Amino acid sequence: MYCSAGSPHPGCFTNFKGVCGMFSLLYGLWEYVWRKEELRILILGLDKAGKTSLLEKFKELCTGSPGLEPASIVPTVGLNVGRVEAHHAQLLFWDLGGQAGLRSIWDKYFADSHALIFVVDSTRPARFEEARGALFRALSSRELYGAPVLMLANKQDAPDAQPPAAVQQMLGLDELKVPLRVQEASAMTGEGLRDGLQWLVTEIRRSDRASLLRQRL
Amino acid sequence: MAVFGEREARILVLGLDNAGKTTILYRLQVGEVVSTIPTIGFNVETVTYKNIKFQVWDLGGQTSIRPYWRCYYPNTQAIIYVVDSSDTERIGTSAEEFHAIMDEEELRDALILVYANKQDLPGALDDAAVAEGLNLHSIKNRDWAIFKTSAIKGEGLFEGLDWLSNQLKTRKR
Amino acid sequence: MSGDGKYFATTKKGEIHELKEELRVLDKSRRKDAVKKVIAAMTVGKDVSPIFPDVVNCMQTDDLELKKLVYLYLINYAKSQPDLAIMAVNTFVKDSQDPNPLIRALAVRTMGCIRVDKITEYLCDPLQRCLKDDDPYVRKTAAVCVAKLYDINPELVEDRGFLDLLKDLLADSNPMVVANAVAALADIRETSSHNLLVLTNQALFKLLRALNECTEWGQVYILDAISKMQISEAKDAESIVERVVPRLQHANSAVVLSAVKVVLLQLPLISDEAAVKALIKKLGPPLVTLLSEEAEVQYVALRNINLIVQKHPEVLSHEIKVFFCKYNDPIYVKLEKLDIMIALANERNIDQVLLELKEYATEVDVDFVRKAVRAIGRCAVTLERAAERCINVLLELIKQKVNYVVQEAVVVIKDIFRRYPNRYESIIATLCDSLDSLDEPEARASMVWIIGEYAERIDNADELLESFLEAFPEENAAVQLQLVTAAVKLFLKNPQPRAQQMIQLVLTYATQETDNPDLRDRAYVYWRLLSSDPEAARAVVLAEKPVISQGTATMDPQLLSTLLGNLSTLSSVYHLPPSAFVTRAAHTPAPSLDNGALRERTTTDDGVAAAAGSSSSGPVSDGAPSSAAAAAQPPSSSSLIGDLLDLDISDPSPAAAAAPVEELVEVMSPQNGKGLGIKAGFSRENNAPVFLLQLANTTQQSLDGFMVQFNKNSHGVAPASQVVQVPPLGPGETAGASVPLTTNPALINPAANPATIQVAIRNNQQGVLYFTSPFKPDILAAPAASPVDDNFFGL
Repeated sequence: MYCSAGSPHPGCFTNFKGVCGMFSLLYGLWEYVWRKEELRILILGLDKAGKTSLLEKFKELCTGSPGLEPASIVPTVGLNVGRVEAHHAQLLFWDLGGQAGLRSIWDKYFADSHALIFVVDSTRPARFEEARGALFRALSSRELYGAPVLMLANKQDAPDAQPPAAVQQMLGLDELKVPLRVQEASAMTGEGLRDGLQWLVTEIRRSDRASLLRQRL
Repeated sequence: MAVFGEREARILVLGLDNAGKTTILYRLQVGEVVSTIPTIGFNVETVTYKNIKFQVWDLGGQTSIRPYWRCYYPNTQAIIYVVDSSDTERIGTSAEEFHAIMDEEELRDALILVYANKQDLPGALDDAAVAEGLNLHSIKNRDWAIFKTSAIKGEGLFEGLDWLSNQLKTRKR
Repeated sequence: MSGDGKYFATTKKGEIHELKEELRVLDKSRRKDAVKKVIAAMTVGKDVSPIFPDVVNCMQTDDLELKKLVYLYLINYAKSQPDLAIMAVNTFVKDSQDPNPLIRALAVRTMGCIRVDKITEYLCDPLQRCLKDDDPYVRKTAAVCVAKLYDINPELVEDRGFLDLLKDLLADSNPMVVANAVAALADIRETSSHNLLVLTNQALFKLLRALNECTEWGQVYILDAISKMQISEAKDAESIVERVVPRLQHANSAVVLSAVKVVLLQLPLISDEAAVKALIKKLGPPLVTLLSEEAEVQYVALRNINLIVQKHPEVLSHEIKVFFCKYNDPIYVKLEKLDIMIALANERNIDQVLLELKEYATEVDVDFVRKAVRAIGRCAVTLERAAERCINVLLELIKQKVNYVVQEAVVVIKDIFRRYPNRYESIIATLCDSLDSLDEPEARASMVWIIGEYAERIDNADELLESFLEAFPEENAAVQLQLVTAAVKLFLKNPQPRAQQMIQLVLTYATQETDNPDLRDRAYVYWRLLSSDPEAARAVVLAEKPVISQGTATMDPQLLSTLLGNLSTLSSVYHLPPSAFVTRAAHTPAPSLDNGALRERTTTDDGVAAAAGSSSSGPVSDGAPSSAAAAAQPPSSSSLIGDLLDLDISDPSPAAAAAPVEELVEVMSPQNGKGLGIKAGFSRENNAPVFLLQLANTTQQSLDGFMVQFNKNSHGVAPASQVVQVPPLGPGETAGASVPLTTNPALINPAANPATIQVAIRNNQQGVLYFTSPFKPDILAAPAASPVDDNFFGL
């Protein structure tokens, strides 16, 4: 686990407490090694798709402590940042607001992102076309070249949810040339999140985008 | 961390002069529009919202006072940065002040809430334009939110507080 | 709060840092504790200014106690953190609108105490509001704040119209507000060029009404303000006195003294003599009561009483016993009491006084003894009928052979000789017995003067003088001067070869060996006199000396009236006009410079004779010339003080008209002046001496470029500028001009005729013309005393 406050992992280094010199040396090394491997994942999607709830669920799954109640989550008009450690990687999530007015900000984050999670509300086929537009506009950016895309067909817990295959078809995802996986998911139950994230991390490691970003740094 | 146990938070309201900071403070506190004069110094009020006691510091925005904002940074959980959306000429100045605040080590962990204020005025920039003007997207390692507000009409202010109280509750862990 | 002692009890390291942390906690009671610790540290002298912003941040609070503490801190440290002080402004603005009048007043008071330039501007709005506050407590606090602000930024106060608001408060319904407004205006007047306390009759009665109801210090302010007013109507004076007299019973000595001052100032206006007498009677007991206070207060009271009795001895003439020194009085009290005893001594009580003085002269404190001996001498000079008794006491004292008593006695006896010539010279023999014990210059000089003056009655005068002359080069200058004069007198009275030898020796030394110009000059004058015309020398040196004054006034009357107008202030304790020690005092009372110059002249005019007496004790010999000078002053109705203070109540006649306009006399006829006729005269215009010219051009050409210059003259008078302000004078035209004059000691020619001045006038066409203009030195003297003061003295 990683704490954003900068305090060391409470368990790992218990034995070193009191050996301050060595501790800070090792801590510095630990930071150095893992900072290189920080993987930045952009979470996009229309408003009310459930991006922030998913982020909270990711955090809950990876840390074990409960995240925000989905009921109390308000629409994001800005940025939520989430940091978790999973699959031997340090993950940094950028959850951006999905309202039409704020989508122009998305572009600013493309260049630094390793991968994209695109969230679709499976219960609202009426907005699939709008979601498709937003996704294709994002992927048309050169800044996102080579980034794998995890498509989360969210709200599968709801009875009227469209199945992933339908979502894939209705959004015309087959046209895309990027590494893509459509995953059925639920922010309420946490269904499909682990698998999806596992796939995404693997894809990132496999893709050359990581080295591309590293070069850019 | 006892501070959070008691659900108290220290908030700074910053922004250029005439952005509407004091009006926002009293709109939040007494729910009314009070007539204000330029704040030479500070106002501090306690606003209880959603079980959180916000100690809200409204600091004067005059050039002469901005240097002393830093005296208020320690122990601050959140910044409410107020922008006069209708003052397009000074959005650049506002952005400079904003990023100076962002670079403060003492405010590293502070939440950032931006009020794109004075939406009631004609020609006011919308939230996206203010976000663009402030270069909000250059913030990549902490949470921020922007809200369209009108302190006069009382719009958008509590939505921002909702976000703030949510974030603070999340962090409480 | 005794429990707060614990806040003083930390001495830990990093205390400042700890305090800083504590001030930042959200918990109110912990924060308040922290502020208390800060104040505790402050009061024991630790520098807690680094946490200024943190303390200021505690300022906005509902807790009145905490607010007061923070304000206290602000007053102390705002000056050391002038930039950060701006952060406090908004809180002041808010607090000045607080529903609680205590907080409003607290805010405005603290604002006034924060002397930081940068923020004063922001504090004007709150101050303005508070001056018009509904609550009198706030208004009275705001009134004082105006005075404080004026001290920092007078322009701001004037621009914002605060002075007018303050004047409005003089008519406030609340007496405390009135008193504070008076105090503030009086304070501002000290530094301002305007006279702000111009009181109308209506305002006067408001003040008098407020007098009964306000606090003791408020009463002092109001009384002082009334004392500064120019009251001209007897009716007003009577009602003032009627209201003020009850204040004489007040327990606060400041109130009593101020009330005495006001009553004294009104006395001249009251025509009913019985009423005046009754008033005078009422003034005595309160003054006596002041002497039952502790010594320090006694001293202040005595200094004031000293002034009062110089003017009105009758106030306390029946109370002289009160001023007899107690054995345990501090020396400063004793010395003051002595002065007052002298002023109060009269034919009736002189025996009692002498008995006291004689006893004092046997005490151990040298200064006190000396002053007692001097006092006996003063009594002798003042009270003719008691002189003999005084001299007997002095002789008794001399016989006791206490060195310093003898010396002091010799000095005063010399004055007695001058006061009563040819009456008590029989005691000279006794004095001569003590000759050897004299070692102080003043005593030796006095003794030498006596020997010289009465050489013909002292058989061995030459021997005695010789004994002094042995150490001539080592003597003090005053003694040397007296020795020269005495030697000359001896020679003139008894031109023995021995005296001749002595005088040659003395004059040779005094003209050749000494560096002292006074001594040298005097020796040369004598030498010239003796060598050219011994008879003239006799006429000059042995001339009948004027009898010295018996006036009890030891102080310049003008100064005395100034000081009486400032009773109960430092001025009356120092016996100096405020302008002498308060540098920022804008309104200096009429300086008596001209007067002084005149006095100097009188001394020089008296020449050798006066020089002989110049070593006599200051106050007595000063009396004559200064009162002469005062008498010589023209009875002027223009008030210099009034002008400076821009008073409304001033005499209707303009200043220039009041000056003695001399008839211009023809000093040059057109026949003698190549066709230019000149009339000239000296006068005063706008309280300054001027030279008036009337030029008549009877030539056929135009004359211009007039310039004027004076020859060196007896008073060192000269034109301030040589250029005569007169337009070109066409043929047949006449024009007048006035030339401002100054005096310059370098231009004094003592030999010149004091009644004339030689003048040279030139113009571009005719060149230089010379004439002599009659001159009266009167015009040099400022009409110093104001009309009030004149009346004051005329009582």
